[in-house]
Amino acid sequence: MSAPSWADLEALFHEALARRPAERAALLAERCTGRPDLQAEVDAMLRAHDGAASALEVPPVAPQPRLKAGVRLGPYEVLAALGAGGMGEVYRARDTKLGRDVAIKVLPTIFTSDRERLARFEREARMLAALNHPHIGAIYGFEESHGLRALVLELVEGPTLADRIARRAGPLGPAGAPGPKGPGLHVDEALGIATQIADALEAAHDKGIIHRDLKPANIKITPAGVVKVLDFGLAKIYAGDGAGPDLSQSPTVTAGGTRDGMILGTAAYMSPEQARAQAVDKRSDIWAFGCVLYEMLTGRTAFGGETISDTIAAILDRQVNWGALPETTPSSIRRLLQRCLEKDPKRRLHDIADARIELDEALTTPSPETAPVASPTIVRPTSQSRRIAAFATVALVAASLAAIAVWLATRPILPLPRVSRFTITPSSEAALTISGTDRDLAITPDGTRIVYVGANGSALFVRALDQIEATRLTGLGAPHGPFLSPDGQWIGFTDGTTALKKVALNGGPAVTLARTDGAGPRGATWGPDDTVVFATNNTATGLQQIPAAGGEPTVLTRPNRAGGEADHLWPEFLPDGEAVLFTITPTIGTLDAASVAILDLRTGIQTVLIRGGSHAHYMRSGHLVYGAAGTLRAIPFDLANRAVIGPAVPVVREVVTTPTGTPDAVVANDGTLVYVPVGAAADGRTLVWVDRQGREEPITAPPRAYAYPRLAPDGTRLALTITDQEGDVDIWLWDLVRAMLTRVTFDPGVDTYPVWTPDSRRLLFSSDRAGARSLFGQAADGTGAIERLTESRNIQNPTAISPDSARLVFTENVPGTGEDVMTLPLSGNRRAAPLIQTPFVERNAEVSPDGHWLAYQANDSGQFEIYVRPFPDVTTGRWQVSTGGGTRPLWARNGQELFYLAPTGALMRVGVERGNTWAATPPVTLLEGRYYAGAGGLIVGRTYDVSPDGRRFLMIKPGGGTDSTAAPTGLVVVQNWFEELKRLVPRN
Amino acid sequence: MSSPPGDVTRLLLAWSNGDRDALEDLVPVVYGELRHIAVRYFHHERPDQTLQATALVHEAYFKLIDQNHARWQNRAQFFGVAAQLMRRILVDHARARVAAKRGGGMTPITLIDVAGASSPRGVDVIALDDALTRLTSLYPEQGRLVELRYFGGLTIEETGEAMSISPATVKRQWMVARAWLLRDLKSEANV
Repeated sequence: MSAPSWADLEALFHEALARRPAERAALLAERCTGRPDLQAEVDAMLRAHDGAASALEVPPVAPQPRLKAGVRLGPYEVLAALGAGGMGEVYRARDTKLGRDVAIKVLPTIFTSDRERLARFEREARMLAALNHPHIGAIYGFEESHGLRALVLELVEGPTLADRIARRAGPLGPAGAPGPKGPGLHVDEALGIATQIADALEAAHDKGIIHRDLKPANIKITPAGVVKVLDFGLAKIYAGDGAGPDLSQSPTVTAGGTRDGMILGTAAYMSPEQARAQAVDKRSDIWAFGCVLYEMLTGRTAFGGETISDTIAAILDRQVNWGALPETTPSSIRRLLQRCLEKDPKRRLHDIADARIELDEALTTPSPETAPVASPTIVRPTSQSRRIAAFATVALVAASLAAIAVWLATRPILPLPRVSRFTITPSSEAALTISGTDRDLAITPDGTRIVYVGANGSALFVRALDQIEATRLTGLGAPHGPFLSPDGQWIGFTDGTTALKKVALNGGPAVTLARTDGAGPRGATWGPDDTVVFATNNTATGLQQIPAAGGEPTVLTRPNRAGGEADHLWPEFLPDGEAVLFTITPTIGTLDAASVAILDLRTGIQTVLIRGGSHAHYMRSGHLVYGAAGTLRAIPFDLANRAVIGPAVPVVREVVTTPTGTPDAVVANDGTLVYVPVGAAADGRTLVWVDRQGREEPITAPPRAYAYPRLAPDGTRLALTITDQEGDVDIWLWDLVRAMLTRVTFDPGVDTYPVWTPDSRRLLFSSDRAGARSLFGQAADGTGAIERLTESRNIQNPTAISPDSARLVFTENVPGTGEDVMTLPLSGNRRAAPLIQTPFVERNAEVSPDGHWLAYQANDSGQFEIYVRPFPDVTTGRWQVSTGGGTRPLWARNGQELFYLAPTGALMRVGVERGNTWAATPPVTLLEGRYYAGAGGLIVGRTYDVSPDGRRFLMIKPGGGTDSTAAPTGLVVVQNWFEELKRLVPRN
Repeated sequence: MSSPPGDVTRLLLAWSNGDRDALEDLVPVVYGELRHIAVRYFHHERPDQTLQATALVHEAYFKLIDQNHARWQNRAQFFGVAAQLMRRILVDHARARVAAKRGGGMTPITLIDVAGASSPRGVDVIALDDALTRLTSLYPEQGRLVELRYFGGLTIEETGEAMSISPATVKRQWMVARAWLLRDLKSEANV
């Protein structure tokens, strides 16, 4: 059942929350008829909400108080915490020497760690301390102890101007939005306060100090009526050097606690040039001063909005609501406000001294100067004496602090940043196939798109890293081992074992570059000179080269057998195109004894760079990355001198390594690393019987990388190919009666393609224990000697025995004609002869139970289809059985049905009609393609079998992750991996 | 008077102007700085290992951003990036510690999550990360909201700005998301 929509959850949750707890159950039941999942979820959420009242609250902006009552900082004894702003905790403390209370403001940890910042801070603090003014909150000094640094400030008792306005005017809306219209302060009171602020500002501006964060919350009024401007210039200190807009939170040192503890604080007092991050000078203070004066008079902020972005918009674009000013506001003050709130700083009031003059005059001028009002004139005493009595003369420090950063939502939503490491999981339609031979991935040099093998090895997928959808490229045969051209426009790949091809990244027809004649591909690389260097598992040649447009291969190297070299594989161009890295595999030992070497294309000289490694690539960070023992290692590399210049360091430990030892990882020039993580290894397949209705009955054989199940004719045992962790391939037997798994072949090479003799006594198979894969025979119970049937230079894989036991039918990779169907008499002269030999690929031939027909797959039509020919005289006819593609045919034991796999892996069946000539019913799907059907270039044989009575099929269930189409493998993408590489493997 | 903008600031500006490549250069620097700072915190390992994501982010911000030139939008973006990175750092560290000391009576790394309480009740970072991942897979918007609020330490207003929704909506959704996560954490703990 899919999860409820967010809208449903939210609406229901809040509706229920609004009810009394006793009523909630009934409400939920009523709202959720037919939606038990929604009801249960909301119910659980409500209980979680009730049960954890304080858990998972947002962490406080301010750090937890680090000081407690009684702690001493120098001569100061902490008494109590006062409040917390984003920039530090504030405490009340007692100066034990002078017997007065002070405010201690603990500085953020950045100041303890950053010496330079601290030094700047001390310089600034000294300047501020020199500001000795009755209306400026004083700095007494700073203390350092307990690992903290703290400012010691004048403790000012009393409410802030913000409190005063709020008390008078009613609450302001959120973020300073206009609250209910209420009276501001009395005009005289407002003007009197403004005068003191202006005094303070004037004194500071004279000394070149700007406040930058002037606002009502920073202005205090003592019980005696004295105005003190606080936190003067402190935001600048926090910001560091320069006179630019400060983006820290304005510290609020108030006994009443902070307004909201906002990181970014309020934007309402920010000047337009601050909003635009332009230079700030004393005129920004004057703007803020105008805002403060307006607010005192009207009870509302000059610029406000529901959100901060609205506030900014108002500051930049909208006019102040002048009509909100009380009628008793003198016109000179209106003019003053207009000049202060001039958006263009050039046209704004320049000097706060001018403001002070206006204010003085307005306060001393008798009432008739005020604008006429409808109500009867009320004589307001505006005498000097009254003013003086109410407020002492103060100079106001009002350098407006650049308001803290605020946000404008011109960009709709913040782009989700690409974090440095993430996993992409292709959809099941575009699932990754781990083929087992080559890398299944490639990445464009610019790091924007990856190409990978998918759909059970029948297609390539192209996917941009920042998108979800992948583009499928079909018509490529059996593509694997993709590699990109340097311009990222072309994908090179190998089609099965037949040919090296290329296709445009954006799709199109595949172009054949070179034939590989059945040799397994072992790496290819596209150079800047528009040539392709590649290698195959044909040990006669090492590296070969062709022009990127296609052509006859030039052999570049041949392995030196006498020198212990088995083959030259996995070439990778260096960026200059003049040399190629490659791997030398040893004649003795595993890949751990391989070497990384470099071939100079001009001179032909080969030089070994690393012993005990393989699959090396050059990284633009100045490293070689290569595989060793299932990990990726990096080693610093000097490109100019083509030399290794430091020790190797493991850098990625969890990469899937294919049985050929190829790490499934790629790195783009821009440093994007993509790899298939382990945990996706195909080692957990299981066996299962499936009937025609799709019902499964598991077979209790343990999970392994099973490949070719072959039921003995007597139905008692199952021969299987198992690939182990080291890539060793062997034949095992599963006894269906006794439920035991026993091993048949033991040599370290590849032993595969088991075929039962009709008497269920012997197994014929192919093995490379003595050279190229040839045909062998052994008693199924392991007794007796292993018999060699053929000695071949070409790979041979047996697939069937004729029912009279006379002939073995097998596939051979013949140079020039690719894979062909051959036959070997099992008695007599034992000379193999071709049965079906064409330039196309023919494989997986099966003989019908009556011995009259041969079914096999061939790709002469462009894709593999199933064909049937008469047997043993195959030349008298050919009929196509499958439509839309088919591989891996199998006869039913009664000869009345022929099965095969569709490209999706679905099991198909045709009914055989009796007669002298071939006739069959149209194909019908029996089982959907959710079983393991082999992949790519390695597992091309038949991966299923049928029970003797034809009622059930023996299928392989895919292992965890990799070869499962139901649970697609994720790819790990690490961007900017070069940074990590440089850090892990420093180059001196 | 003012020096030219520092690298990070310049990158932030460029990114906010639409230069996506700038982000690529930016993220590792920010990540590196956050980690660097986080490592310092981790070194002072106290038994309860409490950690404040927002303090780290602030510190990183101060270190990296040249206050003279960064516009206010940039801060939003910085915190948006930092929130995600912060989450990664904390979770990676927590997981590494668990892996290193498997079974040894590990104290989970907790985040301070109670404002002003004298004994913070922490939430296991790994469990929260998993739960948040689950939430995000079902409700991506709300997952982002939680990440910005909890790991980035943005206020209600700032979160609203970052996501172009009103603060009221942020509050509303935050309550539901929090309840969802708590329920999820409880149910996972019982498995």
